[in-house]
Amino acid sequence: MSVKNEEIRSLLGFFEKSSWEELRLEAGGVKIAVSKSGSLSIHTAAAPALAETMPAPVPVRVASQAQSATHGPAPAVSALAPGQVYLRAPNLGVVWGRPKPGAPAFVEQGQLIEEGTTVCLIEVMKLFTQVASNVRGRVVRCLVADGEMVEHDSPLFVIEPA
Amino acid sequence: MLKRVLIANRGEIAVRVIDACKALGIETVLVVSQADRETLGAKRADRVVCIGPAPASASYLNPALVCQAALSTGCDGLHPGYGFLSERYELAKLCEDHQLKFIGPGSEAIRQVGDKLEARAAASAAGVPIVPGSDLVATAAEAASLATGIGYPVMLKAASGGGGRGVFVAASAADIEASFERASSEARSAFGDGSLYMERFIGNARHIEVQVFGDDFGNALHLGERDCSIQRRYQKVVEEGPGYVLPDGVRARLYKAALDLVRHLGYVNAGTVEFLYDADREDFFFIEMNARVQVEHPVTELITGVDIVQEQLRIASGLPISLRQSDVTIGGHAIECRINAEQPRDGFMPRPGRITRWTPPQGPGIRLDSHCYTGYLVPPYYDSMIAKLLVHAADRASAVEAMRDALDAFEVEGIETNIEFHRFVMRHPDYVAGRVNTRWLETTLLPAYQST
Repeated sequence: MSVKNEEIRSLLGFFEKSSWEELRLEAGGVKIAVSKSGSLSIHTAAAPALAETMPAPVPVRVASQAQSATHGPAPAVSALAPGQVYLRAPNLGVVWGRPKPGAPAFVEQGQLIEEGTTVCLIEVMKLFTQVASNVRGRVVRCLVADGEMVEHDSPLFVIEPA
Repeated sequence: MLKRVLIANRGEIAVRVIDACKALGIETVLVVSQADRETLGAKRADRVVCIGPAPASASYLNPALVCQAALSTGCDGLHPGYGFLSERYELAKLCEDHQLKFIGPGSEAIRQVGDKLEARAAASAAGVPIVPGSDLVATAAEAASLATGIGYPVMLKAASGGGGRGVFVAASAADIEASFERASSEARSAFGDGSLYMERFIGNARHIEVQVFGDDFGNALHLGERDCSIQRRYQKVVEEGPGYVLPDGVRARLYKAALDLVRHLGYVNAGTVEFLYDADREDFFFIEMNARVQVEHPVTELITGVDIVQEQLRIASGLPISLRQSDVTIGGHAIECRINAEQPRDGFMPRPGRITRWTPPQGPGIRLDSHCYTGYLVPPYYDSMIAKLLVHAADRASAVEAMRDALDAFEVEGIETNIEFHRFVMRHPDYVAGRVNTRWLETTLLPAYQST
């Protein structure tokens, strides 16, 4: 299959209008890799939905009820070392790292997890959804505390793919 | 007064509600989808939380997500805007169950006016005239026998419908069976409910609606009426106020009917009672009640000087309506054009994209409600409305003239819009003379427009 210039143009137009942050395509000897942030991730495979390697995201620290609604000082950003990826929240909700209070955490720092391992729960109005990892790797860091609200796409864990 | 309000909407109405909150010293939290992080509303809100990916079903249409966002950010009120979840019983109920003030009527009122048959029954019980029609019709045979009593032509409408979908007209007894089948199957696929009811079809009809308020103290107030007869596929295109064709006697009866319904329902907060006005017989009939702030509410704000969204916030805070009926005066004439990112010459197809130039008209008597700016990307996921352009002048003739000038001065580049279409409407002799009805745009204007 060969790729025409106009196809590339229409693909780029589609990408620009999409909510995707990165696009990689290999077809007919043509390789295209584009990113909206200006720098590309290290992965050469298509970025999975939850774990990706976009640089400099800002973990969202959520104000408690007593705090003001205005944006507080920017929280410390946990930078990714080369090769590490974030596991991100699929939607807004309250994060719980263990199946029930007092129980052991789903995952610990340093633990090796498989694709499909449950890493935490996200609660939305008393409804709990399991968040599963879609990479195999080592848990480098957990970025959120139990009971914290996270937004859609917020980083939850730093993972080093294995 | 409420302290912190979550805005569960997007686009121009999010900006409108944020500004109203600010004027009253209320903090704002805006929920956005992944596609809306850079909107004008997001820039103006005190805080922004991203609740989900771009598709509305995974973000703006999920009651649990917006309610959780409100609770987690310490809000005491939630404004639903229009569209999306604004008239969904589930959201209002969820708010009530979690001591979050839903800025609108109670969940029970939403359920009641949202069910068309129940709303008709309530109107009837309140003594408000309704279009001759039927209850639920189960079969085509039943439809045929009832239609004779109602009088042809009759409309078949989806009980859970809205926005004109699931509506079919049967001109005579020969059509009724086919119309029934089509209406029922469209209703089933669009709303998951094939139930239908029937109404007499009024040929020379105008859409006239009354802006109303109720409060926790049993007060009811109206802010006059709007004429929204310029419609395409039952969607409003141009709205204006006051209703310039109504004789004073009819107008007085119309206000009384609207307020009777508000009192009968014990309705609280802003609402709109919609009527079909039979211009030939000078008679009006209840169509439905909208339990939300409407797109066209600025028309009423311009001719009454009342800020409808601020009034909503006050009523939701437990205060009485801030003015008496005798304080309400109607001044001049206002017109609103809905500006959409669409191509009228290509079946009004939506045309999202990047706005490279945004120069709206400015000047006395002009109001623009919009979330757009130069560089804004109109996303493909939502409604194509990008602005509401309004003018206010001493009388209808000068308002039409002012709207022509405003539209001529409106410059948008990078995307296609319906501005040129509105220029055509404002110059059509029928529109200028006010010789229109709810079918005029489709039967008279569009053919004329397409031949230019």
